[in-house]
Formats: sequence, C-alpha cells, structure tokens
Amino acid sequence: MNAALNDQVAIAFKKASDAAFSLEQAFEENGDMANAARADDAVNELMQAATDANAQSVTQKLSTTQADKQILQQLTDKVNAAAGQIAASEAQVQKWVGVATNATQLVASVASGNLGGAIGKAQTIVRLLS
Amino acid sequence: MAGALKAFLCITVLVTALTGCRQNVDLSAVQALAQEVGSSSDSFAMLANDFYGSCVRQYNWRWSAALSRAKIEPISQACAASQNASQQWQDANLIVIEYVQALGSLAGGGDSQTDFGIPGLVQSINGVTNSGLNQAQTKAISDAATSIVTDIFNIRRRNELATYIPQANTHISNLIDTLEQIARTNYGLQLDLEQESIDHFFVAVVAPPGAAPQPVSAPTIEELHRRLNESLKRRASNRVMRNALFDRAILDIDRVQVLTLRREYEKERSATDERRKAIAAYVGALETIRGVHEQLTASITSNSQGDVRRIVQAYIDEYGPQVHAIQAAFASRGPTQ
Repeated sequence: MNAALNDQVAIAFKKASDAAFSLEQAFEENGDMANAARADDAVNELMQAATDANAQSVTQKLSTTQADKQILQQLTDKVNAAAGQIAASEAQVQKWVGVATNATQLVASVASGNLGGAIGKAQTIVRLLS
Repeated sequence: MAGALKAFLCITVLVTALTGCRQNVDLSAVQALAQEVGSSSDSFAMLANDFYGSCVRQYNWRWSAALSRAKIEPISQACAASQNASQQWQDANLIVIEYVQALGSLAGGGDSQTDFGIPGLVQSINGVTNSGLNQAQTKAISDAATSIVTDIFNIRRRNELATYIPQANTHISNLIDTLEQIARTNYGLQLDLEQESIDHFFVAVVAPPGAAPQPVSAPTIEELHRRLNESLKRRASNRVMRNALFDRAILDIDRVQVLTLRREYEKERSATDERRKAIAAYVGALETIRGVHEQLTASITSNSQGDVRRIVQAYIDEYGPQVHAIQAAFASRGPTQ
C-alpha cells in the first residue's frame, strides 16, 4: 500500500471510530451497557488501526525519498571533506608563516648576538615543522 | 619598500578581480543560514519526537476511558509503529540540518583563521631589514597580504559551494516536500486522534448525550447546569424521601465537578492546539531553507550578481521566529499523561 492510500485508510479508520463513538454514546444513553461496551471496543480497535496506518504512511513517505536522502548524505560528506581540505590548507599557511616569522627572528637574534633567543626560535621552528 | 606596498596593492586588485568570478556565491549568506539552521536542531526533534509522544498520550486517554480494556494492546505494541516513524522522521530532519551545516562549514562558518600570523611576519621582516616603515605602513602591508591569502581560500570555498549546491537543490527540495507532508498530514492526523481520545475521556463535559462527538462543540456552562438540573429532577423523582437541602448540595457538588472537568478539558485541548501551531512553524522553517537554497542555486547557475545577501537575509529573518514558535509550542506544556 502506498503512502497516499495509507493516509486515506487512516482517515477512514478515524471516521469509523467517530461513528462507533456516537453509537457507544447512544447505547449508554439507552442504558444498553453490553452493546455500549462492544461499541467501545470497536472505538479502540479503529483508533488503533488509524494510528498504525498513519505511522506506516510516515515510513512509506520517507522510504520514497531514499534516493534523495542518500545523495544529500553523499554531498554532505563531500562538502565536509572540501571544508576539511581548505581548513588543512589554511593551517599549512599558518604553519609556514609561523616558520618564516621565527626564521627572521632567529636571524635577528643571531645578528644581535642573542644566543638564548636564537636557540628558542630554532626550537620553535623545529616544533612547528614536526 | 613603497614599491613593495604598490606590488601588494596590485596583487590585491588582481585577486579581487579573480574573486569576482564567484561573487555570486555569497559566503556570509551561507554562513548565516547554517548558523540559524544549526540552532534549530532541537526544535525539529521536538516535533518529530512528539509524533510518538502524542501516540503515548492518546493511548493513556483511551486506556483511562475504556469500558473494557481486554482488547487494548500493551503500549509497547500500540505505539511501536509510531515510535519507529518518529525516529525515521527525525533522521530525515538531521539529513537536512547536517547538509546545511556542512555548507556553513565550507563557507568558513567554523573557521578560526583570522590573519594567518601574517602581521607578525611583516613586523619581523621590518625589524630585521630595518626598512624604516612606520606602524601604519606595516599594517597596510600585512592587511593586504592577509586579504590576498583569505581571498585565495574564499575563491576555493566559492568554487566548491558552486559545485555542490546546484547538485543538491532538487534532492533537498524533494525531501522538504515529504517532511512538510508528514508534519501537515500525519502529525496533524495524530493530533486529531489524540484530541478524539481526550474528547472521549471528557465526554460528559464535551458533547451532549447522543450527539456526534465530532466536530466537538463544547456546551456552555449554562447548558451544563440545565442538564444537571434535569438529571437531578429525574433522580429526585425516583426517591421516596425528598430533601430540598440535600438535593441542592448534590447539585452544587455536581456543578463544581463539571467546572473542574471543563477546566481540565480546556487545558488539554489548548495543549493540542499549541502543538498544531508548531506544524505551521516547522513548515515555515523548512520553506526558509528551501527558499535560501533555491536563491543560492539560481545565483550560481545564472552567474548573476544580484543582491543575494539581502534576499537571503529576508528569509533568515523569518527563520528565528518560526523556530521559537516550535519551542514555545512544546515549552508551554509537557505531555499530560
């Protein structure tokens, strides 16, 4: 059964449940509790059938979009991968700018005879490159 | 060094011109959409989860009102299909949300990069070479260099987005069509069923005896009092001993009970009505996603440079209130039973 048909079935069950409910009230009003109890059972069964058909309709509707969902998930993966690659490239740029910055500072430290500063900069470069 | 500054400026102009090829992919618009949609994940889940929640409440009302419970299934069976459908609905919501969030990430939404450390490099070079550039000049150079690097990455971002957004457009639109149908038709019907079971439970204060329960037409308080008086007269006429004060007391107790039941019924009905409002808000939020995506696709495929940002912002401005409306519908009252 397709989803649209299931929607119709669910609505039909609900209408039948409404009718059974009216019947139940009529029996109760006339003091016919045995038939009122039968009608009450029918209300519950029909309402349960409407609930089930309605839930199945959701499942069927979503199953018809299986291809769309798969393609969207694949595209999401590709988009995330592209974002990851760009982020990695940006990190590389950041890293090499950091290396260049420390290299110029290393040169400046050596030129000024600041051996401690030069060692510190060299260690930073090694750490950035590792 | 002034020559170097000119060179940077020339490169900046060149890169800006190159970037212009993909100016139609508005990164800030994509980021703004992703930020809004990302924050609505919980609200979408509230609606999808309530498909099952409504089944549970409906079951409890049915069970409480039933004259005989012999033929009522246990709740684990009665709501199993609804629980499954609810989970599938939320999974589909997540496909849409995660796709939009990925676009936002590609557009640079989660990017922590600001200047790549370039100002520090320019300062260092300036210090080593003793070029004599002042602070404003070094800032101009480092800003230009940062802008060039940023633009290069933004060109890549726009190119990638321009590749994927048009590919996804039909599929996201199809999925949104289905999600909207589920909300309107199936969740709407589930709330109708829940309402019917509430009406069934409160039948004494909802519908006159013998009248069709649907559509529900709640009697006025005066009508209820009239019915109580008639009922009391019938009961009194069957008694051997009459006591006017006792009859009056019974009538007052009945009135209080009727009023209490009516109040309870109206609270339940109001809670269901609030949840119905969430359907419209959910559909509105999905339409916003569809609208923005279509605008982006149109600008990419036509390579137009229209005011995409302004159009997209108009959609996004509608998104927040819709999501808040969903939250409000579920925050006002939790499941009763």
